[in-house]
Amino acid sequence: MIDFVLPSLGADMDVAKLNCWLVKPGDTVHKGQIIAEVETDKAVLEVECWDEGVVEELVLAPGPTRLPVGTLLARIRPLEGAQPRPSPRVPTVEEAVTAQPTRPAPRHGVPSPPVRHLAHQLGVDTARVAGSGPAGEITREDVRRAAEPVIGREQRVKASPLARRLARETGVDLGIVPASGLAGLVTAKDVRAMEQVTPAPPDLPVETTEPEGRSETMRRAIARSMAHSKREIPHYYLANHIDLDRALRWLTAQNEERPISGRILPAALLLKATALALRGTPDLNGHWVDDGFRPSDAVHLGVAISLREGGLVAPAIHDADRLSLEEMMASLRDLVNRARSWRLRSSEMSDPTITVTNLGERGVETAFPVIIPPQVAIVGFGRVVDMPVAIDGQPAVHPVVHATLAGDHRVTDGHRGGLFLDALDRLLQEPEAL
Amino acid sequence: MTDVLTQTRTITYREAVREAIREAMQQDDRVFLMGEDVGRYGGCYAVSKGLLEEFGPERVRDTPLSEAAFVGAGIGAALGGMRPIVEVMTVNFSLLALDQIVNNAALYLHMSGGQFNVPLVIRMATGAGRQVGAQHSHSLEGWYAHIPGIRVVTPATVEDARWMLPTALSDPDPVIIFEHSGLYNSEGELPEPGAPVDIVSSRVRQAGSDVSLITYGGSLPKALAAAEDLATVGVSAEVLDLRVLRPLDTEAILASVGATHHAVIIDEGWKTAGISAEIAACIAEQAVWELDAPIRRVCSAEVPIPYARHMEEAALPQVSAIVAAAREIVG
Repeated sequence: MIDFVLPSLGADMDVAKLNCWLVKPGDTVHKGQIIAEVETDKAVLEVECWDEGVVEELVLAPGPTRLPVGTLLARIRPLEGAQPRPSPRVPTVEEAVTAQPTRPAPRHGVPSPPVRHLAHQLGVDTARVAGSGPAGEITREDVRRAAEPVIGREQRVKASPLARRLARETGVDLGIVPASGLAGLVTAKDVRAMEQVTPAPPDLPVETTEPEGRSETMRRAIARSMAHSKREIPHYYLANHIDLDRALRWLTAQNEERPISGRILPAALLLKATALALRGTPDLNGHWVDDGFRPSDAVHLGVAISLREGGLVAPAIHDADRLSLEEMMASLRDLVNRARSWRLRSSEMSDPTITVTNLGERGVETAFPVIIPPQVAIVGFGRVVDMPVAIDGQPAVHPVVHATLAGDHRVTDGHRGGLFLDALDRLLQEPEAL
Repeated sequence: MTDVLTQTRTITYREAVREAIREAMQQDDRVFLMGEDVGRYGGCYAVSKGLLEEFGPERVRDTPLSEAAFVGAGIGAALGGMRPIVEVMTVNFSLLALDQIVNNAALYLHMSGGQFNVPLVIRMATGAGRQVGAQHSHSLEGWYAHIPGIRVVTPATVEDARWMLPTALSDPDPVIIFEHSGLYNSEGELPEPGAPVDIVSSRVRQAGSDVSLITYGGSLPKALAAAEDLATVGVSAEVLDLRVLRPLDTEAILASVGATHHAVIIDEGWKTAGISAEIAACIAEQAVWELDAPIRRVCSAEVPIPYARHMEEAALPQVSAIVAAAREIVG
């Protein structure tokens, strides 16, 4: 039997609500099929299944409960002869941190009568409970933990009364405050520390409509992720002017032959060049997990998309280095549309290996972006501006873009970052090869 | 300014109590001392040594071994216009006089429609730590704090031992004074000249900002020692000496917890249904939003106090346990 657990849908996410099931028991599911819809702080996400099989049981019903990552959602019986996938996709930091104790580790031996009694009361199958006792026995505590997601108990934040009062007064979300107190208790000190990171005006009217509520929680998610980044990641910044004269000329000529709906925007060109440039500097592409860098073979290019109601998401264009320009453009359009209607897929949210932010459309000349953990680099593009440049010793006015790289100094040094920007420049000088 | 002018003298707790009794008897003819072995023997804790010789057998009266009888006689004397000081050897023996204390002394004012008040002072030793066995070692002062109609005070310093008595004697209603037997030999600085102290309020014995150590009686020196230890690890502990268990000075408790946001209650009684539970409930009811961590209680183990020294020590609140509790919740 395969356990289908709530996947981590982004480095800064550890809970989600189950909105609805798109399958029912008895349905055959295949790898990549969307089987459920969940809602995180950031978006409504379609959750893909990673196995082939038949849905045996939907363990949890949709509801408003915030479920921790790793919560058992469904059980899937593998098809005859099918191999369950050996390991999940690239784990995020949060996954590593929030490994749930509910994963089954069937054990031989019979639990003690009081434990069996408790298990019976709580409806827990002890065969699926991993024992934490001295010799691996199942304890009452194990049973209680195993029961929690099953009985759908609200994942309550443990905070001191004073911390709760302070949080209420200052508008800090207790759910995002790292706890330092007794047995994981959020204390007043923790709330004050968070308040300094995310000053929230307490007098704002409470927003009640759905999108505004969501953008508020998104704001907090961004606050958490970015505060974490600036706290933990030693950023270095590099910048280069890149002459886009050839690239844009080529693109204009290309677009003249296309229908308006099929035209390619310069953004797609920049994304493609970025994806290709990473081949020479794979140490910018991957994740920082467990105090070490894990490079990624695939380039899943996160694209920062700002949303109309405020906030932003950075879902991935998968295998961006292998897409044609047309495919890249189509992916970008699709992604932006779905992001703005809050309909992203879980894998898109969870596995970018590097992110690109393009603030050019906001009229900004240079961006100094902040790395999104657990990624280790982010590329920024500013507005394309006409600038005087020297061509063969002669002044000329060319369209130029300011490209920046923020790198994680724990993984790379400025030299490697410089090589990347250099490669990016060279690729953009030969647009026909993109 | 007054600190500079005030002189002090070193005195034991035992001497302070004796001075208080002697002065009361010198100043008021209505005051007399009554109890088991208070006369010829000088008191089982030697508190009344020399008083028989000074005041004579009329005013320092040895009684039969019948707590109900002599406490009842004390009530009668108080009703008759005297100001008796009744000594009960230990709180453990006072259970024989519970009917007199709870059903008579505490109730007469109420049941007579305010016609008869009982200006009685009862002194009792309480507490453990001297290897005298379970029947002499329990801390039952919390039981008396349960009863409306009596005031329960717990002098923990030589100043309170010396100056609570005159205030108690001037109270028109019954007052029970609990003297922790472990304190009699302790020495302290007594301000000179002294004056009667109130038996209403608690006192901050040491100011601090991180955690409130709330205690009384024989546990006060332990709490102060714990505060000293805590200071070495950077935890600033406030020590609140309750002084009065009934009525509790809740205002002071709430003020201290409101400032430190952490509370450790130290009580030599047992936790279950004890005075520590009352204090914790009072904080939970009135100051829960000030709490930044769970309340902790350091109390006696829920067993009869053992005789063997190491087991007795293990059963009683100790400085290390107070320090550990404070550090745990302060984090």
